Amino acid sequence: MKRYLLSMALGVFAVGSIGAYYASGTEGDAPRYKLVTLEGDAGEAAKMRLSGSYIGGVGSKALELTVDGTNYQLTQSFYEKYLKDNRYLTSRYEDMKALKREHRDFMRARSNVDSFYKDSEWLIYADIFLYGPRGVYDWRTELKMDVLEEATGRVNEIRIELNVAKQVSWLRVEDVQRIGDEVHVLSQVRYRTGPTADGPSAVEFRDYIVDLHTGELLREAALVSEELAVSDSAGPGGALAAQSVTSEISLSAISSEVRSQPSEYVVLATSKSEQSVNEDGKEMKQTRRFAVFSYRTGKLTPLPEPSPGLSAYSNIQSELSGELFTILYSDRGSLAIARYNVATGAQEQGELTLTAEQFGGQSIHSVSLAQNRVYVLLTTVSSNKTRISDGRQLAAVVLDAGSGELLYKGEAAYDGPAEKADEFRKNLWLTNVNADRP
Amino acid sequence: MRNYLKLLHMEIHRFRYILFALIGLTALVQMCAIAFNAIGEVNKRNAYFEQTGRAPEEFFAAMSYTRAVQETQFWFAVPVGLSIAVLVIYAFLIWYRDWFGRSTFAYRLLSLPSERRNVYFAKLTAILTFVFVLIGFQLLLMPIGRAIFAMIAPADQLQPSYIADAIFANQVFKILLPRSFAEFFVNYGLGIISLLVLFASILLERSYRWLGIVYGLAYAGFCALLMVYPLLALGRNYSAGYFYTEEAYAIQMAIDALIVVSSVWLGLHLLKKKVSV
Amino acid sequence: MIELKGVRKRYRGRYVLNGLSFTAEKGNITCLIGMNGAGKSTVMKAIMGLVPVKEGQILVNGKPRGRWIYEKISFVPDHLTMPLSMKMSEGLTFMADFYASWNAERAAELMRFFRLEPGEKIGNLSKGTAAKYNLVLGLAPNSDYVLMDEPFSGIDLFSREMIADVFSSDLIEERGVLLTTHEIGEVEHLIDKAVILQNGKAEMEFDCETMRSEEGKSIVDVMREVYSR
Repeated sequence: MKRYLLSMALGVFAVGSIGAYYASGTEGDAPRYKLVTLEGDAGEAAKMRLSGSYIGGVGSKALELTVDGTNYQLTQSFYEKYLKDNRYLTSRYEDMKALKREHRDFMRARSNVDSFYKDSEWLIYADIFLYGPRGVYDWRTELKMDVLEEATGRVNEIRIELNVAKQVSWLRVEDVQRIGDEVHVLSQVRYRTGPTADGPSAVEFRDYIVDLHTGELLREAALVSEELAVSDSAGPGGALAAQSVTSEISLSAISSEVRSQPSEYVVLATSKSEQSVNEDGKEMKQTRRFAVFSYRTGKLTPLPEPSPGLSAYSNIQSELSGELFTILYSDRGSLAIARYNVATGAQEQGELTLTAEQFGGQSIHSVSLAQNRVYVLLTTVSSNKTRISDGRQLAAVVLDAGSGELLYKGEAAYDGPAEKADEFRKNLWLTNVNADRP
Repeated sequence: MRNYLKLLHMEIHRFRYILFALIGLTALVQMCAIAFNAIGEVNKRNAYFEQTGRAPEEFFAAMSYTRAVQETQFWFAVPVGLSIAVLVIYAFLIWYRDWFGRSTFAYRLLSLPSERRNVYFAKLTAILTFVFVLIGFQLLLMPIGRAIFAMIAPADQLQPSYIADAIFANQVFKILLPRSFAEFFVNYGLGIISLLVLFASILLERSYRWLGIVYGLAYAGFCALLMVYPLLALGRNYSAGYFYTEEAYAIQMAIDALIVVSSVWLGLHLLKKKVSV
Repeated sequence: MIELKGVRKRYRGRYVLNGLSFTAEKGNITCLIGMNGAGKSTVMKAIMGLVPVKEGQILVNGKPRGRWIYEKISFVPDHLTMPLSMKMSEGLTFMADFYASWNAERAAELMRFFRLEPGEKIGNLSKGTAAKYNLVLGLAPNSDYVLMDEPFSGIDLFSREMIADVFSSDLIEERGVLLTTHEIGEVEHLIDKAVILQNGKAEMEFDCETMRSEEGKSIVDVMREVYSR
């Protein structure tokens, strides 16, 4: 046996060394953090995810903090990187996961969450394809709609050639809903109005209405239409104009937050940002308009304009939940909530404005609106510290989107010996708050 | 089993001097890099103190082993790269050295009364042993380097470092010693599959000579194509792919398993029936 | 008995062995005779399974060959087959490790007989010493047959005499020996049976004693006849 000592020693050494490395943990000095409940119920924050990094040591380590504790984001293996990426639809949304379990074949190769419609009888996936031109004027668009009848499990594949007279440059399905036997496929279409690709163009919402049973295109309607100006900052003769205005318009549809539940309404948003350059410098002006579209009546009703104070906010998030449409405005100092009833088109209660100080914070880092809850990541400062960075303390707050009532408040804290708490607290940088969607 | 272990020992024994040389070189280069880095840092601080008369702590951050590893990662990577190159070359030599030269050990190995597959597995595990010994030694060097660094750096200017952090300060170690064991498993699994394909190709060459080179290259190319096919066709940037993630994963795993089984089978079959001295 | 029946072996598009059949019996020294490139070494490698043979049969003691034959047949090639970095003693240990038929006492005896230094590295051996060491490795096992490929080529006179002594000793007596040589004169007096290889076939297989007594021909005479046909 003695002469095999070399091999045995080498084998034991290799296994021991590598085994010890992976058994002892590979996170180094990366500490554990926790959320300490200061107010309210931790159950209200169950779906909240705070993401950021630990910045102690050399380099930083990505992490996620929830009420359950810290999760360091390991780098992905070679295969995960190449095979798991991008297939988020059936891995991120709980309702889509459930649909995949139920209708595995139907859900194959589906990529657009807005293309789904589901109720107790029907499951529909509708997509519009733009086929590349063989010649310059040879664009072809096709509506492909797969309809699954829950009772029979039969899938009807509907293919409709759409005669879009204009030159479409881009389109996307934004929402699919069923009213009786009619399926509405709401899409956003961008098309050229001039002869060249970089010339003027326009964007609009189009509602294609298809018969559920016959698969015929019954009618179509253009809803919101906006001309997109060609940016032209140079004045006549190439001289630089003293004043120029560039504006950008974007349309978006806010459909029901839970994609697998039917909704009669969709909110269409038009956002226009104008940037004017003059002697005083740059100035940005942003205007947003919202309108409710009812699939049943086909009526488009503009929502009341918010008070001028709200339009000054730089960040905006919105959500349609049942018949309630909520807009969350936020910036570093405060946030505001406006709610509307989409059935009546009227604003619910007054606008709600909350400053960071009101829930004991100094500045707001990130907000997230989900399921009638507002999740806020903010910095609080304890006054007994001299330097700001020493006193920086990250906290998360969950509010009721209707009343603004504080449901939960928690503080990020080091999960370990108290004497190290201060040192490690400073090495935690959280930047985003998100909430798991249903 | 006993014969396999004896052959494995014999293969390890034959490579021992090269293995120790690689270990020695790695230790020498990396530890010198750490020592020079630490001395340089200390000198910088002393020079600052001499010139300004002020404590270096005011101007310099505390000395950190992790940072030293980061700054010297080129010198850390040089012996690692050399070791990898030597092992890749030896993956060929472990077969060819027995066929060519003044002594053709292949005659002896192929006429041992034990199964020939023992020869195959001994050579395979010998290469893997060298790889993991070198990796294990690299892990052992990290705390040694930290101790050397701590000896040179003044205690009051030294910031504690963690081995895992120091390892991650080096880009090369991110692949060789990834944070998650799953990733370690995937990385080395792919390495082992490549080695099996290489062995099959070498044995094709040893069996069919000139024609065998063509067969070997074709086999290796075919395996490479088969391996990357799911990555290209089912995975990346393909959110609307027909297969679900877990199915693509299963297909990939099945292909990998197929390549492992076919390469081992081919290697053993050739060694048993086709190979000639 | 080692028996070859219609063995064919292609090498680079040519049949080196083309329906070769002959036998080598235990207790006999059988010599394969042929010109350079006649396939003498190939025959030995084929018996040892060192080159694959697709057609024909090779039987050892009446059974098809398998790895069990390596305990029954030792092969002494015309060059070293042990790693050059090993010491001679390590080579003997290696053999003892793998061969049940290995006879360590006889190995030690042979080492002494050839005056080989066990501590010497195999890589440092001269051609003659290497040939002696090869004989140690081939003759030490208790095998039934010994195959020797050109045991006398390129070896000095004294070494040759030593090797020739082994042939007439009891180390060989009981076994079957198959050897190849192209200098037949040297070993003619040792050989019981000759097989003349030509064009991949056994052109002639005869008992030397009978040939000498009945037809009065030496092996060389027979060779001349065969090659001049």
